[in-house]
Amino acid sequence: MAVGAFEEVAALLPPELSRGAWALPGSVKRRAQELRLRAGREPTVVMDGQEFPIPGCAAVTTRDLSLTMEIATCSSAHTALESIKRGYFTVKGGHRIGLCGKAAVEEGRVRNLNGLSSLNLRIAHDVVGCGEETYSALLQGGRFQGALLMGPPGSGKTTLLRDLVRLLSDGGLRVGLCDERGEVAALWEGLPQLDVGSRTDVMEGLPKAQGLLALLRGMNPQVLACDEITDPADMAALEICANCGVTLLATVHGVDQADLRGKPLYRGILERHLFSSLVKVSQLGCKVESLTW
Amino acid sequence: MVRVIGALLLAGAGLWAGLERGSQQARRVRALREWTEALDLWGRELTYHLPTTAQLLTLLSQRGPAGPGRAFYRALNGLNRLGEQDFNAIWQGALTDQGKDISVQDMELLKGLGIVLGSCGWEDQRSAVDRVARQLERRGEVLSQTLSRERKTWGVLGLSGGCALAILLL
Repeated sequence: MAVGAFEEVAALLPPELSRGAWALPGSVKRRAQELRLRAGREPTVVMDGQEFPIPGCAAVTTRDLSLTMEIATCSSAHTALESIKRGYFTVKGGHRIGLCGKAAVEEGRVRNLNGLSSLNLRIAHDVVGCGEETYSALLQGGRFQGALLMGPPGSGKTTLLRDLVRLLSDGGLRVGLCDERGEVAALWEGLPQLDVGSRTDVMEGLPKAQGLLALLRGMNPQVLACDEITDPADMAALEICANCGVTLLATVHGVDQADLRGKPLYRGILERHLFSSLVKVSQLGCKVESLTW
Repeated sequence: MVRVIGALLLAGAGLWAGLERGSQQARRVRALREWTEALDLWGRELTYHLPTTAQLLTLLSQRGPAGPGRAFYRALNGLNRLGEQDFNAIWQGALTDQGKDISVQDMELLKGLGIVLGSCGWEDQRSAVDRVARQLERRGEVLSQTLSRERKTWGVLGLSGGCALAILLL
């Protein structure tokens, strides 16, 4: 991971905490996945799933948390609140800030950011080129026929999805990306902060079923991509898109085709032949196989 | 002849002092109207466009009245210091050169916006901005009515005082 990504996130911290983060060695910065701030505790850096305190920093105060939010939102909490209702928001560079604490809620709507207890600054991890081999394996007679990326949590499905979208898009196809949680393209002021290709149209924030149909009807895509099919409504929308001749690319949680057959929601994927290939994603790599019922 | 000129000068000085008092009030009325207009523009932009604070300050410094525009411009530049200072401190600093034509009470109203702007939802910000705008508008109206009543009075008092002084000295 580039040190620059870490330093972009460290710049969001108030001066006292930022100094400690900047002083970390390059090897730590390259492997860092998150910076965590908890009120009353030392700030920590997460590497390879483990937390380590950042040396030389005093305990985080609630003022530190507020200041971090002011810096991250450029003192524009009102524009970030819509995202914050979902528990996180994206900043420039595609990095994501998760929030925890006491929100002032009225009629089910978050009204205020006061009462923060912790922040999780997730460093965007874009691996351009990680999908080249899988992309080549997915082309059948020079054409992309659709693929389902399957793997357990943390296996890299979203990272692979992003790179395949980029390759398809830069390869000349119009791709519609339904990015419900903003994890794939990470739009910031309308610009994708992560590379999703030159011919990709991104719909962020809408529930997948609505987003897919909106892209289908408005953007004339040749490929539609989305992350994490979890809902019968997602399945129904995907089927409509497939029936309109659009090729699909999506991710699901699971280990193998037996998982798909075992879960009623995913069984429909096999029955309806929505995808022609399955890509099994794991920490060890990717394996492409044909999807069969 | 010299005495007559001196007397005329004294009378004129009295008139000028009276009118100057009226001008100060008029400048204050104008400042209150400008701030009311600027805050109304701020509220509309929040409601219809939901811009970031930087975008808002840019727009207000360019499209709003000149007097408040200077404060918005300073606040915009102050955003570079976020982290070293919170936005409230930046806002207080941006208002420092507004004290000339704004009363202490009016300034306190404007300063109070610093803890609200950019730190909560747009509805709460809009409410706070509208509240201050309406208070400044009311004060401006009261002052304007007082001014139109008192302007002539101050002018006459000033002229009379100057003439009286001239007569005494002559």
